[in-house]
Order: sequence, then C-alpha cells, then structure tokens
Amino acid sequence: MEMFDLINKITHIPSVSGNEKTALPVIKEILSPYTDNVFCDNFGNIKAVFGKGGILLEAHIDKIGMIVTFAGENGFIKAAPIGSIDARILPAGNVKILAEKELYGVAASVPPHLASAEDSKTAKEVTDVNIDTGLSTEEAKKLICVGDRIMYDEKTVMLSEDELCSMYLDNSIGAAVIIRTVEILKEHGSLDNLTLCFTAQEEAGLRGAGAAVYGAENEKVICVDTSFASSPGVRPEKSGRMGAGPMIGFSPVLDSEMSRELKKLAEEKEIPYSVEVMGASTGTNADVISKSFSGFRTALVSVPIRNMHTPSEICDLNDIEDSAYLIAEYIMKGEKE
Amino acid sequence: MALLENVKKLSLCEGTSGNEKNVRDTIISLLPGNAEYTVDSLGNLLVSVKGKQRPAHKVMLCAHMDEVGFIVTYVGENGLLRFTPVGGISPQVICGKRVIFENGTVGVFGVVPVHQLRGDEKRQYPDYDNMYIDIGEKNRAEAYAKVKPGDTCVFLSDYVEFGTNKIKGKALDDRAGCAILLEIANRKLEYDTYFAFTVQEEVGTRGAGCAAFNIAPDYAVVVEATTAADIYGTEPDKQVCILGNGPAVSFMDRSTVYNPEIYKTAMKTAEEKKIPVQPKSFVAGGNDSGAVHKALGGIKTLSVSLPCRYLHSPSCVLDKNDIVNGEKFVAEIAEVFSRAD
Repeated sequence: MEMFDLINKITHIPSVSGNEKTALPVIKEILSPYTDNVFCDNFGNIKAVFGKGGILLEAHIDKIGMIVTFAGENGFIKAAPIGSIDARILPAGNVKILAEKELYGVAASVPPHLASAEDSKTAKEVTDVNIDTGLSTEEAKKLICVGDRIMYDEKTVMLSEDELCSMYLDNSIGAAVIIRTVEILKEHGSLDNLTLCFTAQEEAGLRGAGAAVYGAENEKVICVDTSFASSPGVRPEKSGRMGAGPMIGFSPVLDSEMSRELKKLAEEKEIPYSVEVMGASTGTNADVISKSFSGFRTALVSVPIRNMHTPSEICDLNDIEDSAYLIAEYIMKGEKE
Repeated sequence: MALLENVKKLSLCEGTSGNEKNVRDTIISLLPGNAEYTVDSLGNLLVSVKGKQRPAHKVMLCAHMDEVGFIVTYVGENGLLRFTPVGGISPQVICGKRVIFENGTVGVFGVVPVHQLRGDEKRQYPDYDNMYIDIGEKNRAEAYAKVKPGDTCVFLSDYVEFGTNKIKGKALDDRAGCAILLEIANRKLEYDTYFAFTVQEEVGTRGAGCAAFNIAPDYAVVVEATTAADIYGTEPDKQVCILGNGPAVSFMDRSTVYNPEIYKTAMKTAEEKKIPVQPKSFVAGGNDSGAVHKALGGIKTLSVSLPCRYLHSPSCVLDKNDIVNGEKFVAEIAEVFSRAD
C-alpha cells in the first residue's frame, strides 16, 4: 500500500485511548495479505502473530483526544483531555465527536470584546474550553452522551515532495513502520517468526504495554514511536532532523547491545540515521516493556516529527521507509545468525 | 438555494485585504445579466442594477470582499517563513493551524511541542515575531521556488454544514454579506439599486469611503458579520447577538453612532414584515459604516450583521436561517429607503 494512503487510513481510525478496538478491523484488513492471525487481547491491545518467537515489534495504536464530561445548553459541551492535548491549538479548531454517529464540532475561541490581555497570551485549560456542536439543546441531548470520545479532525496532505502533514502521526507512523517492515520481509522471503503489537492506552500512561507482552515468547522487542524533529525553539540535543532517517534510542533502560547493533547495521547498509540519547526513561512503551515479567531486551526506533500532539504534525516520508528498512534488515540479520 | 451555495463558493475564494481579485472575479461571474459594473482605483466593485422604477433616494448596499489573512515577510535559510497578520487575528487561533497560498502551497503554523515546555509555558501562545509558517521545504532555495515575501495566504478551512442549521467556514466575514448582496442583485428589483463590494475593510475600512464617494448614495446598508458571543457560560448582557435570532441591527458600534431614526425604521420594518431581527446588544467592533456614514456630506447608514461565532478565525460559525432572513430583511429595507418619505 502507498505510504500516504496507509498513514491516511491509520490517522482516521477513531482509536482515542480506550477505543482501540476500532483499529482491529482496519489492521486485520491491512495485514490480510500476510496473516489471518490478528486478534485483540483482554486489555484491548491488537496482536498479529507470524510463526513462533522471533522479534516483537511494538507501536501504540491509540491517540490522544478528549472525553465528553458535560453537555450544556445550545449544543455546547465540555470535555477532559485524554493524554497530553496541546491546549494552544484548540481555539477555532475542528474536532470530531465520536458519538453513536460521528459529529463535527468547533472548539470555541474567546470573542474579541470579552478577551482580556491574558486570553491573548494564555490558552484556557482543555477542561474550560467550550466545544460547539452547533446542535440545539434537544438535538444534542439525543445525539451526544457524556463519556463519548472526541478526536482532532484534519486532512492528510503532502506539503512538498517528501514532507507530509497530518493529525496523529503520533503514532500512525509507528504502526505504518511495523506494517511496512512486514511488507519488506515478505518481499525478501523472510517473514517467518515475528509478532506485531499495536498497543492500547500508551497516551493515557503507557497502560497497555505490560499486558501487550504478557506471555510473549519473543526475546527481543523493538518499539517504534515518534520523537521530536528539530525546529525553531527545539534544542538540537533533544531532537533529530527530518529527512535524516530513524532516531535510534540510546538509554540506560534500553538494551545497549541492540542499540549498537542497529547503529552499526544502519552504517553498513547506508541507511541514514541519528542517535537519540536519553538519561533514563524514554517516554515510550519501551520503559514498561523492558521491565515487564521477566524482562525483555528492548530497543527503540523513532521517527522525528514536528508539532507533536497538534492536529498538524509533519514528517518526512523517507524517514518512515528508512526506519522500516533498518528494522527489516535487523530481523533478517538476526535470522541468519 | 443560490444564496447558500454562493456563501460556500465565496468562503472558499482567497482574497486578503489589498488582494481581492479572485473574490471580485467570482462575484462578477455571479452578477445578473442586466448588471452594470466598474472597478475603481482601489479595486472596489461598484455595481448598479436597474429596477422597475427610479428610486426617490439612491440606496447603496455594501459588503466587503477582503478577509483576514497573512503576508510573508521573509523566507528563512531553513525554509521557514516569517509573516505578519493582515487584519486583526488573535494569537489564540494560530498555533497548529494551516494556511494556503494562491498557488496551492499549504503551510502550517509550527510550535515547540508541549512535551518540551514546562509548567505555564505549555499554554502560552507565542508572539507573532516568534512564529513561522512551515511549507515543508528544508532550505531557502526550495521554499523560495514556492513562496516569496509579499505573498499572502489565508486559513485553510473546509466549508462544513453541521449541527442544527449551522455552517462553518473561513471568511464568512464578510463573504456571507457578499452572497446576500448577490442574491438581492439577482432579484427582480422594484427600484434601481447600487451595490458596493468593497476592499480593505479589515485593515481600516479603507475601500468603503471611496466606494461611497464614487456611488454617492443617499442611504447605505452595510451588510456584515459580527461577533456572536452566545457561547455557554457567557452572561446574557455580553452575548452581543445570538445565532438563530435573525440578523443583528446596530444602533452603535466603535466607529458609528447610527442615526436613531434609521435604526427605528429598520426595527419597525422587520416587525411589519415579520422578519426576525435582533439588536446588536453590545457596543463593540466597527465596519464599513464607519467610513460610509461620514463620506461626502454624510450618508444615512444602517448596519445589518449576521451573528458569527469565532470571527476572524478559520472556523466562523453562522446559522443558515440568519443568512436567509438577512437577505429578506436587507431587500425590504433597501426598498423602504428607496421610496419617497
């Protein structure tokens, strides 16, 4: 599948944390040329198993969003954030209310005559933002329930030949990388023993990661997520350049041998890469997986994106392809040894 | 209905203040066959349409063609653009939003990700001086091939019908007003009527004074969009006007003290013709009336505004019924003003 179409498909799945089962039919369909063995565990993590053992590739499939807490008059609702919503992007932003039927909404901005100097400088807390469904009071009562989820609502577009802009690149990219890895392995006749985990509730606090590896017979795990791309105001030591390939994680909590192997392999195969060095926690499911049950040797591969957690994240498609190739090469090398 | 189709068509046109050509061309294409028009030195589109009879008083209907947007001031080494807003745009509605240039280039207002900010910083809007537009190019040469200093862009925003009779789009201030003028122009008019589609309203009601001078009417009706603060939690006395309660008629705003007789006549006409209207119940904002009512030796001016939530953002929200009633009402009042006293 074309990478643009794959990303576009995944970003639109309404899998706000807790609602990951909506991803199951989509993942099943995408992986159907490769396996039928795609299922949901008790927590809501989605797994696809090829053969027995091998490497486990993990990417969280849940998304940040909001959850309706209150229905006011005239179609205005209030919501709490699920995960770290960037409050600055909400005013006048498009949202989709995941009620029984999907409904369009606008997050309100403070009107000029009511806006204090403070309102022009500081965004309201997410819980204080009115979301305008445009419905009458009666219609809103019929159509929306407290507890319904809300997600961003923006299109996927190519900004340039290489750069794509979309909502939810975190972590549609991770899912796309591990799916692409499967495609590459199949092309090379090397799709034998492999497990894919599309984990649930990462954004809510790495909640699904433990259950995801419960009973896993895989010795090594590679987590795939997004990380920070360099841009104005972002420190160079805390980011990677877009277009410069995957960011290979180095951290006390990751398996240093795997990190070094990935780096060496990238150099050998002339795959562009950078290293992302962290002092301890990586802020990803790798933190939980590595110390779950009897422990797993865990590596982290991240694709740099700009504007993380806004509806207009940006990535370089080459980085996604390079990440998939690096992981596929790593798996194939492992099988040879 | 052509009225609402035209609101959509015009919403999706691009035309910031001083750069209204695309909007003007689209409006010209939608004028009736019997319309005569000229374009004055500033770009105002001045239209006259013959009615069944000559009016006792010359009446001009006005709506502005320009929208708020952004103008590129600099193309950086890193391919990122510096810009300035054109018209009043609150920093509230910028972060993470998208823009589009005339040549189809899409850009994003980039931000430092929340994860890398601490405490209160996470909710601070950056200053315009510290913001940039990202068009997905990695260096100046590649960016320059697509966008140059002086190029303008507008919010990238779909036109959406949603909720109960609502629409969302960019630039409904004042493309909805333009659509109303077009609808009236296409009627079988009782009286010869004049229509001014003005320029540069958003940067200081600059076109309207010249349009008024060029047409020299006795009466003017400015058809606008105005801020509706009928949002949950706003005190009733601060709501200004309410979506669904009809077009809002102004008795005073920051640029005009409206002639009280004109205001009373307007409210009386609405009542007689059973068209829902509401007073704009807050003194705020200003519009082309500010320039028009002082032009020549003075012009008797009325301001009729569609209630609009989230004005000057990519997501203006209007009620369809207000637009329909707005058109009915402006057509009626134009006739009333055209007649002899």
